[in-house]
Amino acid sequence: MIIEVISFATASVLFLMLGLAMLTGRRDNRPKTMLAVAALASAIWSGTVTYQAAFSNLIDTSFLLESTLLLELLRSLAWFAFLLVMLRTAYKTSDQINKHFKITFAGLSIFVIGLMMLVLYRVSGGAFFELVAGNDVLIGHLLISIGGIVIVEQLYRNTAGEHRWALKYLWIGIGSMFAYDFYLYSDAFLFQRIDNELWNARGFIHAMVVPLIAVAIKREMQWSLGDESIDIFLSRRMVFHTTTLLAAGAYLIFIGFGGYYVRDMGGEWGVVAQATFLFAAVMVLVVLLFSGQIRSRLRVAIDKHFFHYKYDYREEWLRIIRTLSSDVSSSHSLHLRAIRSLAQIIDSPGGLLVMERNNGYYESDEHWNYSNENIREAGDSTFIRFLTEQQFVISLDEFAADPEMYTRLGPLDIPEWITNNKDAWLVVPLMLQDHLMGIVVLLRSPAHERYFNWEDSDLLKTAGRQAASHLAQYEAAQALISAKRFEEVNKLSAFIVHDVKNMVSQLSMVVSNAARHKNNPVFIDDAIVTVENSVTKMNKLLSRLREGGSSDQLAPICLSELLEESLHSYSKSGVLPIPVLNSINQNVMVTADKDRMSANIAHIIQNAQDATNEKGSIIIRLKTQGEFAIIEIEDTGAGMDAAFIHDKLFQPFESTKGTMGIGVFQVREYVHKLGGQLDVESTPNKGSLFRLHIPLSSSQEITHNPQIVHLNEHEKRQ
Amino acid sequence: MPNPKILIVDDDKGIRTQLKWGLNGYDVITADSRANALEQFTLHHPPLVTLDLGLPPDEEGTTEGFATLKEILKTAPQTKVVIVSGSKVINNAEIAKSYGAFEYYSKPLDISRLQKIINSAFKNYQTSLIKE
Repeated sequence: MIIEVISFATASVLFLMLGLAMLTGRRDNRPKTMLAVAALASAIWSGTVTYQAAFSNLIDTSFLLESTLLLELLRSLAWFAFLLVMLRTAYKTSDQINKHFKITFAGLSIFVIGLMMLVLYRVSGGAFFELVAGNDVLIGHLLISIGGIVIVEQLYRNTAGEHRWALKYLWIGIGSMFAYDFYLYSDAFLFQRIDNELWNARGFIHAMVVPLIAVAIKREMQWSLGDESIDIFLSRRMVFHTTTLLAAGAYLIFIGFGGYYVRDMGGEWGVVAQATFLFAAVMVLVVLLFSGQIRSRLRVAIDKHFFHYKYDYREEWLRIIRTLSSDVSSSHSLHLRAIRSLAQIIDSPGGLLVMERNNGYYESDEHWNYSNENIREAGDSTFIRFLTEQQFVISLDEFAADPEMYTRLGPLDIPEWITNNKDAWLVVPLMLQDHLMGIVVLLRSPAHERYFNWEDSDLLKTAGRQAASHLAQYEAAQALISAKRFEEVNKLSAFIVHDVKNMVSQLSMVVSNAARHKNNPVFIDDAIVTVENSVTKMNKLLSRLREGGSSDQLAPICLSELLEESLHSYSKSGVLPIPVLNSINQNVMVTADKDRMSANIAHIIQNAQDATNEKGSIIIRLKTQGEFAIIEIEDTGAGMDAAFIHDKLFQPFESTKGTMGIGVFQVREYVHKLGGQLDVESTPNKGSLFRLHIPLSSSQEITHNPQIVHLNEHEKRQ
Repeated sequence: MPNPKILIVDDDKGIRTQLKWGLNGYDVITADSRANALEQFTLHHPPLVTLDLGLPPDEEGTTEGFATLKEILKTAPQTKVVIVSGSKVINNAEIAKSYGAFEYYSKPLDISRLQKIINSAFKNYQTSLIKE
């Protein structure tokens, strides 16, 4: 009886542990839930058997006996349900099989429920089915065990190769459970009685299944055959203490045997030797248990080998990216968001960002719940050098407790601006490749005591890299904006200088010329014209300065007129080949600055002339297409290959002519600014075709708009 | 003997007018753009040219000026072209010289200084004619 109690109690406890473990963590996983139900059903059944065995002498156990019969069936049903859920996952892809599955499941359920009804019927004292009386439940159990073995075999066949190494333990475990039941009940059926020894061993046999299931879970959290996964949460602290206790227990048992051996062999000294031996062993154990190093090593070993990761990395990564790239227009700067993205990983309530400056120093940049100080750390300090070389997250607690842990890697002094803040906890380097862009100092998490391990460190280090690349990108964008502004100022000053030089030139010449010609009335007339010219220039300059340097005067312009005008000047210049206008569409109006438009067209014509020999031809066409005016400039010149068009043609300051005038880049920029586009088609040694698409002026459709007429009349009057 | 001809190419009307009055001993012809300059050059064949680099339609750049320079020297390589430019791009002088310009003179203009440069350009032109 005692054997039965121990046997089933062991099974009960182990199944209970398995069932409870399965109830932790995420709940939305069906195989996991079913496994929990099956394990708990087994636990209850074994528990009832234990209870019945232990107290059968004291109380009336007939009720218990009936309950165990029912519970055993319930337990079988639960395991079936688990196996079938797994089987369905395995069959998931096939609808055909899914249908079969439903039929099988329904059939089995009806069978098991029928059996349960039968048990109830028998318990109620009815004498139905006399023929199989006494054997019906037995046959039922036999069939259940056969069914179990068949499904396990099916599952094993349908488990993908890469999952087999993990799941085979599950199938072996559950399969052996059913196999043993089959053996037990076939023996019982043959000899018309349940063998006591076999029954007593059943608890142990079932208990052995639990470690096998545990191995399967450990081997593969991605358990199912599909994409559902099983996660279990156990407190690290609990596992740590349990492991320590188990190790200590195993050690003590081992020492106990050692002690007996010493006493037996020791003769006269036996008892003394045993006492000394045991005492020494206990002392060793105490020393080991109190050794911080061994404890921390054990902790890391448990963390690394027995646990799934501390973080859900997918979630963490999405959160980091979300924080870093949240709306730029929000009130938080990227720098603040960089601190927060790191702080949220380890629940830190605040932090400080220190960034590298052009002068080689690292200076405070942004802070979040961190007392703001003006911090300046030299780029060659041991602190910066350590972070650059080791790329480590420094835990200030660890450093305070055991500086050598860090200093054995290289010299390291924690600067005062960090040690002054008692809440400072972690120093995270922001690495951009091998360069230290900045540092984030994080404050201690007050909510709960968190110990900082390799996993936090790895995640923070990587998140630091991510933040650094975002910051670098931001800084590059800022630099570009500054460069653009600088370029604008430069442009502005260029035209001011240019115009002022011209005005100074002509006015000073008026003065010097007046010395000789002041009595000549024609000179006086010319001098007045010159001064007038200067005044006009100054006024233009002033208005351009008021407009911030843009000299664009947008007005409706007639493209056909513009093209004719510029071609007229080309034909007079005598440069060959002379461009020819072909298929001109009259009255095509676009809104643009006339001078710039004509400069852009002139640039493309000149390029065509440069590329084409004197016997070649340049043809210009003007047409409309939808809402666009199309200007085509086609030459029979040298042409360009695709690589040149792709890599060089549209590069600013890229010129084959050694000058820095308006390039094709600027032509395209201007066309884009007008809302159009520039296409280029070219074949080497055959020629090129530049096609400018420019949005038609809105007045195009309303050529007879009175406003336009008025403008023209106004111009005429002037 | 008639005065030697000089072609003044500048888009600024005031400069053209005052150079006309200021340059002594030369017959001044003017032009305000590349096309106009090449037209006048073909018509008069002047031995001397002063050329502004910022011509329309690219007044703030140098494409038009350099294109005019190249075309003039292509037609008549012995012509002495003095670049008179307000552009502050440093290497423009080097580029102009590499294309064959005689001298590069930065605005603002000092008429007596320009007169000296033009005189020396003309002497140089005569010397090169004698050598030929």
